[in-house]
Order: sequence, then C-alpha cells, then structure tokens
Amino acid sequence: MKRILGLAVCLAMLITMFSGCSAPSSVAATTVATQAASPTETVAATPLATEKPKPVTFTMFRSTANPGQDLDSSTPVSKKVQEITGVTIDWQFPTGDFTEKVSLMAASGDLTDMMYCQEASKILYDAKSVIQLDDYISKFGQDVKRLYGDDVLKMARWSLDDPHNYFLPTGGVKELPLTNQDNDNGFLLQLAACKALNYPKIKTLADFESAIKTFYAQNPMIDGQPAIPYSLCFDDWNGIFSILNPIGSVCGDNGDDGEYRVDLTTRQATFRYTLPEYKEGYRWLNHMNDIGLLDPESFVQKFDQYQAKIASGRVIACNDVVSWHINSAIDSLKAAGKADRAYAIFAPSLDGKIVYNGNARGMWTSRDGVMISTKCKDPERAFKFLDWLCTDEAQILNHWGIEGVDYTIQNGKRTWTDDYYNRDTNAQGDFHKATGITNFGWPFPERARGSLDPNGDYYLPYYDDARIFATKTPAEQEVLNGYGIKLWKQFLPDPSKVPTNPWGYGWTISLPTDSKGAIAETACMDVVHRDIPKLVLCKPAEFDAQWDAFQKDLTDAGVADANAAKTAEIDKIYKLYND
Amino acid sequence: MNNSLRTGRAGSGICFNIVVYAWMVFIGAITLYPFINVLALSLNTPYDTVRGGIYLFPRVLTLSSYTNIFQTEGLLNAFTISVIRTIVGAVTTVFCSTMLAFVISRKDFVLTKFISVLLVITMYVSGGLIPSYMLIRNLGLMGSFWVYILPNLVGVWSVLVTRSFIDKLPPSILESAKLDGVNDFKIYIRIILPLCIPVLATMSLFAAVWQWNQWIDTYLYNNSRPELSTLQFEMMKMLLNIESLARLAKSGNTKSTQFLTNQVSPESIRMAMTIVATLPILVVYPFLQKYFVSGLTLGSVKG
Repeated sequence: MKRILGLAVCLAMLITMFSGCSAPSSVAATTVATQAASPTETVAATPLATEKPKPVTFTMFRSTANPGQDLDSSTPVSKKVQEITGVTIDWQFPTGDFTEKVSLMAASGDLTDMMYCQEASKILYDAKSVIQLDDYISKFGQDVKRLYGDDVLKMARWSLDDPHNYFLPTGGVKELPLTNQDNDNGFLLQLAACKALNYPKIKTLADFESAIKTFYAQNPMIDGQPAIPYSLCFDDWNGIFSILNPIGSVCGDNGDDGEYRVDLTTRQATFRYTLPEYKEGYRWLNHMNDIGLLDPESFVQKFDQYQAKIASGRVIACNDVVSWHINSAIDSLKAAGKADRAYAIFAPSLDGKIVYNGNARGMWTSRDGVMISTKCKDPERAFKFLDWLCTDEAQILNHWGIEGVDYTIQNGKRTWTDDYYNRDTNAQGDFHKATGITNFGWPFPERARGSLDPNGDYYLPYYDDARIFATKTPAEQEVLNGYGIKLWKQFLPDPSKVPTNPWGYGWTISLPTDSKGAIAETACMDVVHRDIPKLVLCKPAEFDAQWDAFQKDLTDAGVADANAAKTAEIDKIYKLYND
Repeated sequence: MNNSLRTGRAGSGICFNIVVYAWMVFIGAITLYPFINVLALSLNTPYDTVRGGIYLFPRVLTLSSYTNIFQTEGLLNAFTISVIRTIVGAVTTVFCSTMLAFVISRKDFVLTKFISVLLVITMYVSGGLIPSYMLIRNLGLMGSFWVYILPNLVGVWSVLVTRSFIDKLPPSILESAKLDGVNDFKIYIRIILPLCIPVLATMSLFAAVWQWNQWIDTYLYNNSRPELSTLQFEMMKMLLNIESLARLAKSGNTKSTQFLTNQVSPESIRMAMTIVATLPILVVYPFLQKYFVSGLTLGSVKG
C-alpha cells in the first residue's frame, strides 16, 4: 500500500516536471508572444520601404475564426508580408459568444494590440479602450485615404457626438452585392419540377403557387415517400430565413434596413409588419395553407426535421438560403445522386407590381472594423502596417498571392489557374492554409471585389458569370439553360440601378440598449413570432380579423416608440454621413 | 384461487419485484437511449445523418467522423493535456485536501473552527467572473499550465467529507502513535492516509472527473496558448459554433453569416467529438466503482 502511494506521488511529480518543459509545437510563429498584456518589441518608427524593417509582433483579437484559413505565419504570403513590413500577427479567437470575452478584456485591460469585434466594438469604445485614428490617418494614412476615399472615411466616424475615426471599416468598399457569387436565397422550386413543367415563368406568387400545385398533382410520391408541396421552418431564429425575409423581399424590403422600411426622402422608419403589402403577403401564405399545399408541420417542426425533409428530396418548394442555411441538406442530396431535387431560385413579385427586393442595394461598407487598442505599445507602427495593407502591392499580394508562384501575368492581366479558382471556392480545402492567401484579407481593409486598379485589372480575383456557372451541378445548369439565363441573380434587378440610401444599412444602426425604443422593438418582434402562425393557419374568412388583432398587438407592444427611436437613430447617422 | 399473488411472502414478492424491475428497466432505457443515439449518429456518414431517422443504429456505418476529428490539428495535443491535468490535478487535489482535513480534524488545533467557517463560506459565496479573472491574472497564472492545478488544490467538499471521516477514526490510534514519538507528518502518511482509502478513492474520482470536464478555465485564461488547450475546450469550440451562427442571424447580420458558411460542423462530427470526450472517463469508471459506492455511503453509518 505504501509503495503504491509512493509510486503515485513520484509519478505525479515526474509528470509535473515534464509538463513544465513542453515547448509550443503547433504554433510556428517566428516570435513567441504569450498573452496580450505582455510587451512586444517596441521599435522606433522606421520607414517601411527603405531598409529591412525590424521585426515586431502585434497581437490581434478577431471575433470569428474561419476554419478554412490557417492564420499560421509560416505560409508563403505571410512570410512575404513579414519580409516587407517586418510584422507578424499573433491571433486570438474567442469561442462561441464573443461579447462576453470582449467585455472581460475591456474590464481587465487585457487587450490585444489590434481588435476586430463586430458589434461588440461599442463595448470597447465605452470602456475607452481604443484610440482615435484621425491623426494617424492624416499623417501616415495616404493609402488608407486612397482605398477608402474621403467620403467613406467621413461616414466611418463614430457618431455625431464623437465625429472621429476609431476603426478602419471592414468589408469591400462600395462593393456591389452578389459580386463573385450567385443569388442564394429566395423562393425555391425543385429543379426536377422546373424541368417537368417545361420551365414555367415564375413572375408572381400566383405562378409559383400554380407550379407547385401542378407538380404535386403529378407527383404525390417522391422516392416512395409522400411529397411535401411547400414546407417552412419557424424554429426560433430559423424563421427569419424561411418566412420573414422572403415575404419581406416579396413585399419590397430585403432586410437591409432590418425590420423596418425607411423612406428614401423623409427617412421615416416604419416597422414593416404594419404595411399593407405584408397583409397580402401573409394572406398568400394563408391561402397556401387553405388549399392544402403548406406542410402542416411548418410551425412546429424543428430545424433538424425540416432539413431532414429537404435532404430526402421530398420538399417540392420552400424559401431559404441554399449557400449556408440548408447547405447540409443540399450537399446530402448531391452526395446521394439526387442533385435534381435541389432547387431553382426565383424572385417572384407579390402581385406583378411590387418589385421583388433581394440583395439589390449597393453597399458602402460596414460600421465596424479593425481598431487599435490603448494597450498597443507602438500604435504608429501598427497603423503604418494597416496603411501598408491598403496599398495596391498589399492588396494584390494578399488576394492573388505571389507573382510567379500563385498567379501569372497573361495578356497584361493577372491570372490564376483554373485549379486555383476551384480550390478558392471550396473554402474547406487546403487552399488558404497552403498559400496564405486572404490571411490578411477580411477583416483588414479590402478593395471591393470586382473593382479595377489604374491598369484596368481586377484588384481581387474575379469570378465572371461563366466561371460561377461552371461550379453548378449539371442538373442546375440544365434548368438555367432552360430559362435562358446564366445565373439566378439575373432574376433580380440590376444592383447598379438601385439607389443607394444615404444612411448605409439600417440593420447596423441599433437602438440604444434598454431605451424605450429598444424594448418596444423586442416586444414587437415577440408579437410577430407569436402571431404569424395564427395568421397563416387560420381560416381565410378569419384572416382580416386576425390581421387587425395582430396590428392591435403591435400597437400595444409599442410599435410607435420603435418607429420613432429608429427614425431618430437613422437621422443621426444620416447627419453624420452628410453634414 | 391464485395463492401466489395474494398470500405468502413469495407471492407478494414476485408482484412487487416485477413492478420494480420494470420501472428500473424503463428508467435505465430512458437514460441510456440518448447516449446510444449519440453513438449511432457518430458512426453514421455525415451526409446521411442530415436525412434524419437515425435512432438506435447507424444506417451507413463509417468511421470517417472519427478520422476527421483525429486529423484536426492540435487534438492529440489537447487530449494529452487533458489527461495530464486530470492525473496531476486529481493527485494534488486529494493530497492537499486530505492534509487540510487532517489538520482541522485535530481537536488541539486552535484555528479549527475558524478555518471550517471560512471554508463553508466559500461554498456559498464566490467572487464572480471578473474578480476571479483579475486574481488569476495578478497571480501570474495566465497562459500557463498551472492555472489548471493551483487554484483547484483544495476542494472544500472533499475537505469536509474527509474531516468527518477522520473524526470517526478511533482517537486511540493517534494517541498511541504520538506516544511512540511519531511526528505529525508521519502520522498523516502512515496512519491516516491508509485508513482513508475509501474516501480518497471517491475524492480522486470526483476531482478527476471535474478536471476532465473543465473547459472554462482554458477559455478564460489560456486563450493565447493554443498548445495548452484541453479536449473539452476543443469540443466546446466545435459545439458552440452553431450558437454564434444563431446570434449573428438573429441580429440581422446575414452578410457575416457567409463567413460562417463552413464553420458549423455536421452533426455526425459533433457527436463523434462528444464520444471522444466522454469515453476515457467512461472506461475508468467501472474500475473505481466499488470505492465510489462505499464512499457515497460514508456518512450514513453511525458508530
């Protein structure tokens, strides 16, 4: 007994001795930076371009990781960045909800040198943990000014009360939506159905309905199981993508302003569920339920059950986002050889008059970005690095790669091999990990996809329509050809023709927490979640009465306060952008 | 007349037994079913899992989820760190807790009552997230392996249970040892510890399981040292991704959700990760079971 005890204690002591000696193995950073608060090398402000710069490591917190990227500093592109600027970045990521982590960092003062934390940026600002960038921009930010333009930098100021720049906005500057990609959401109808009905024109909801009805009548069973004509999912937040946004698009709002419609001239915000068009939109859903085309389980099924139905190929039509929301189900269909049970993406109008609004509004950029914290020992060097990232040289290096290795110049234009294009689209592959391309892309300053440099060449690799078409399955391509188009986005209005609104994206403009307006907004959304099922599932004769009850519930929940608060906030941002 | 059901000890016993057994089987089945379900999902091909309908048995058997997990960078390292911290943590916790229990069980120690009260207070009241964080940081434990061990050296519940156990030992043993001129440390090692084996086994099991399951200290303190990540933390990262997706979606940030496109692992992989994280402890449990049972009944027998 004594021996066993003695052995156990010896073993424990040996293990503790050796565990203390472990060297960091998986992090191949050339310099080791342990925690955020520990000092990094301070360097005098050396001009980056002339002599070989002294190496420095900056720690950076990023709110979301992308497992397709390995932000290892040993990739070729990262090495090149180190060579040119001397800068290595030591990344830190949170797990799950990052708001808590950011609050903790702000409270304890354990900040990283640079931070990107999306909507939690406000926490850092309130804790006075980030520095103003105005002086740096005017002294060292020539390339920052070139990339963003003075108008965007003006819009990127924090607020009217504090009209200074605290962040360099993240996201392609003034990028047109759906660049480098196809439309991925809308009213979906099975490819097999489109083919069987000989490519019917789906211009209105009535067309959509009759297509479903006809195909269902012809095919009550699919693969030995009963077919489901039209299925929806209202499970918690999934309902946004299955019901709320699609009906919104049909009624003319694509979610750019969140749950509001904001008038372009008066900038008056109206909670969209009070608008008359929505009454007709939900009346159509009610009608679908009445004629038996709506899946009776729509409002009770969980997202997994909904996805299982889609993956079995039984759902003839639904509304959703194929690229990421139901992508597991779509991939499952492709893997089982049932690619024709995947979907065609339509943009029907409510009644032929209101234009379907999906992803059509031009983007200026976002209201948050990379910030430099007060804990950074050498903010000037950090800012100069950010400025370097805005140069053409850096943009090309970080998105195209190294000349001769990753891309070549053909006919005076940068070209990737087809292999590179394929690997780039398949983000889960080893592409970004092997080359290091996009390690310094998002969330750092980026040119818009599709934008041209002074030589007329693309800044970022560009996927023209033919290339995107080539990534689709044969079944999808067949249907696209049947409709005479190359991509689903051709059903949408041309983004360059849609007026950009002078307050940016309304959904980024949040109401101050715990204000009357914010509470009213939450209460109204609760009412929406409660009453939509009732609206859709009641008898058509009762619909008008239910709608009136719904409107009354909204008024009681304080929709007027929400509207007023939102209008006030949008007005503030408008003044900030346009004073 | 049906004697066996109405009269006689054997008769009423059978009826009662049938009901009891049926009830136990039912409870056992309900408790076991989710675990078997997780196992079945983990052994099924990811694409097939999406189609739903997997309950007790996998439909398309494959080990690809497991190979996928073990190919994840840093997982083997995390596994090693978890094992090391479990063993080291359990041993050190038991050692320190029993030492403290021995000290406060001695009647001639002046501060017995005082320390006991302090310990009990900590069971009810705790500092909260930010003060704990500040404390660990000021102690210099951030980004180090010792943050897993040092703050957890004394488990108050273990101390109190051990103390009550030691109290039940006949005091004559201690007196005779003292008379023989044995110093306190030797009394502790040679007399008390061997007598406390049942308690030790229970305590070490609890401590080991607790250490194995901890992920929040990795999250808070060792975020900057990925080589010190534990298995549970890696699992949490995988499982919590879907929550950050939900939050983004709810806030209307559908543009950012594109960046999370490939981040939510398929269900099979998440289930496989769950199995990998629970299996080691499951394997160890049967061997320590007899100590566990006797340890639970420790305080119940008087005299």
